Amino acid sequence: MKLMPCPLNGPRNMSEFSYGGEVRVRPEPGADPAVVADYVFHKHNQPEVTREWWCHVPTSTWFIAERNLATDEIVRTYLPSDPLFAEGGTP
Amino acid sequence: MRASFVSAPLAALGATPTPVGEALAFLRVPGENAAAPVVLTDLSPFARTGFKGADTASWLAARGLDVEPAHNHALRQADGSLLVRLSPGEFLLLGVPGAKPGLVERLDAAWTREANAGLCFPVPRQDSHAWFVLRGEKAPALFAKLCAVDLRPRAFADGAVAQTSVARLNAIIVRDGAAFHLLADSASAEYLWACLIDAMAEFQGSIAGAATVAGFGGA
Repeated sequence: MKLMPCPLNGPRNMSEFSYGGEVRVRPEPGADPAVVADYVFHKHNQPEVTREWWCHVPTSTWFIAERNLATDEIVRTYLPSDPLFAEGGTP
Repeated sequence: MRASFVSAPLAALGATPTPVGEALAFLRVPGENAAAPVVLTDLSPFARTGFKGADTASWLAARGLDVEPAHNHALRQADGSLLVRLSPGEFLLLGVPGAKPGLVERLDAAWTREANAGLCFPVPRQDSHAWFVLRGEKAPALFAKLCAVDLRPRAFADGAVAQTSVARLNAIIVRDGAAFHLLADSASAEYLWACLIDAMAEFQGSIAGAATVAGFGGA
């Protein structure tokens, strides 16, 4: 089975994880309706390395995975408290 | 009284529950063989608790507990109970099975909203989780059928903790010497119990009463 490295628990079967969508920045309250519509309806979804939310279900650990959508390779995973989270851009 | 989550299957084997302090435990099971290659025991009626939050480690240390610095590790306490660090801020405490109140009862009494514990909150584990123990040389082989994490001694040292899927249930596994503590959703306890019995059949496993567990504090 495909393995995913959980930042807290180490490598685990993919069946222990749940996908939480692309990492995106929520528009501020009162933002332009076009910006809100883009946030709600449009996904980046390009064949490149993308930052995604994933959850290790047995421990309810939410973390970030950088995954290549073309090859399904998991480049790295880290917690949202990791400085890498603040450094990365949103897709 | 705290009853077992697997009372029905144990009673079907002819075992009878005995009051042990607050617990209503199955101390002996007819036909038990504590020296079998793998031995399954239910400790669900015995005391356990949990605490969670950023200040939990310091709150526990202030209560005199030895706090393991790394998460996914367990540390034996002075009274024999086992403090399991599940994450930087989450702890599970497995009491000594037996009649004598111990650290679990002391901590549960110590935490109140007025106790100024900071970011430390109780995570009761008594009713949410079933507590089984698997012992014996074939225990890692049994787990290999139900769980993807390598639990053989060379890969899973004494005190190591795995939070993973066992028989498709979210579970906590703690290695305690030659034994493994297994905690999982109490509502699925009979299902997990049946899975474990089915899996250990090929190893000539045995179901044994709580009195056979090392460190049992007496009835």
